[in-house]
Amino acid sequence: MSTWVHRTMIVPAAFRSLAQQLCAGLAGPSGTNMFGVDLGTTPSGPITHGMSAGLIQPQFAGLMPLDEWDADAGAYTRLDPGQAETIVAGAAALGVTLPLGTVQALLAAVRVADEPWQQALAQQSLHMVITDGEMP
Amino acid sequence: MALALGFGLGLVFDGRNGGGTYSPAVLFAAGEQGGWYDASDLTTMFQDSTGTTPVTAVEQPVGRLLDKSGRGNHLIQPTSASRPTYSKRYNVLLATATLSTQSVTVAAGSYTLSFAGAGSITLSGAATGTFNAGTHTITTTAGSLTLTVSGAVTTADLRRTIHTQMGMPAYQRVTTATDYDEAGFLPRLRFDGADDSMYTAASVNFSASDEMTVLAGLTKLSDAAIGIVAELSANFNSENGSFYVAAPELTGASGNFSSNLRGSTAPAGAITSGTTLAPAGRVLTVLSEINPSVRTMRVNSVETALSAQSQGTGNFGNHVLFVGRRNNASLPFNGDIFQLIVRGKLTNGADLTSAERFVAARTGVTLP
Repeated sequence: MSTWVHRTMIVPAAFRSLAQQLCAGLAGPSGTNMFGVDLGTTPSGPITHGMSAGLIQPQFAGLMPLDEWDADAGAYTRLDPGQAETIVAGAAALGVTLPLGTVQALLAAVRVADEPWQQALAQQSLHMVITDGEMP
Repeated sequence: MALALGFGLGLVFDGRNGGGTYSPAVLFAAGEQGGWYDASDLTTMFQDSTGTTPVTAVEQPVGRLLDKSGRGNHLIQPTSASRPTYSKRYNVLLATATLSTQSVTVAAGSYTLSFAGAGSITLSGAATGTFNAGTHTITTTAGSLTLTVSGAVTTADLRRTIHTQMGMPAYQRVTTATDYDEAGFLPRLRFDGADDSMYTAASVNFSASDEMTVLAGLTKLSDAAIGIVAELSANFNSENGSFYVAAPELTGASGNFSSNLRGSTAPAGAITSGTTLAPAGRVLTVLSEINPSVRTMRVNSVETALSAQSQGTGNFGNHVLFVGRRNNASLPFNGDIFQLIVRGKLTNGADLTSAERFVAARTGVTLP
């Protein structure tokens, strides 16, 4: 575990639960509680996405897509589509049957880049959502 | 270094300059409950939460941070992406010995750019301007900053201006993100302001006391959102015998440090520092007693708030201690923690002076 890679990972709310279950299942304890940061198009919500940002194991990063922001185009370019088949096989090994199309749809929807989370949010016009119940 | 009371009495050096033999461990010598978390002690850090793989180099995540108080209240973070990072890096540039054109992500605020050589650097994006060799203070917006290099630019350094005021070398060689000068640069745990946090693996039983000292050496890097530095319990609003320390609590134009606690009744108002805009490196001390209610906040050893508002009765509770986020879930702290001491007893007099100076020396803060 001496080499880590940084990723900011943002998943739409519709895929959040699936992404969380896959991370926990495939990565074990180090993959629990992923995508726990609530995001929305305004700071007051509603919640449209979930996010994780930080250092993860390279083998885990290798399963996921990798995107890169193209400043000239003002859009992300997908450098790596991720490993949908490997994820399906990994889930099967855990006794979970997942349609390949479902995982492919998840990987298509998630945005994964080696960039600071602040930059990722700005480029995707997203904000962290803080609810009143969280206020000190 | 001053001697507190004298040799031969079994006492320890006061260590008023932050050096010497003083150790905050003395704060726990009588069995006081709490924790001391020391980012300058690599031997206390592990990359994983189970303590299998030690932290051996900068820019590694910290999944387990040992408590140096002797109470065994170690901090953990099982989730890889939510672990703070052990870092000594302050220069945000890469390949700095002979700089080439590059883009870096910067926050809004003041940065200091310094370099040598006959060439020039032209900034675009988050700041603009063309600079020759020397030291320059620039103001950036948040975003991508492109440094276009013309000619020979050597020993280039771009860091937040606050990091030029911490007694560290003016130039930090950075070859890659993990290969850079470390000597003279203060080690800290970097909390990303998104999902980084740690918590004690088990509840910390503070129920024998209604007194609490929280002492943090930290740098607050953003006032954009509320950040929890430390909180005893999942949410102090609903748990008796709990507290929090926030940096900031009031966002935007105030950016203040704050703290509040709950005894047996709904909390009264928080105690707060004055306006302290990010980025700000401070030694923050909060001294609390539930009954009689006395709460004090000190910033860089100067008292900034005092309150006697009742918080009810009872002692502090048997709760998990969270660092960096509320309940490992919300209100993420965006900044660096150099030292954190949580002690279930009031600290005052020479003990407090020594502890604050110890923390200040490891936070790059000069106390008055």
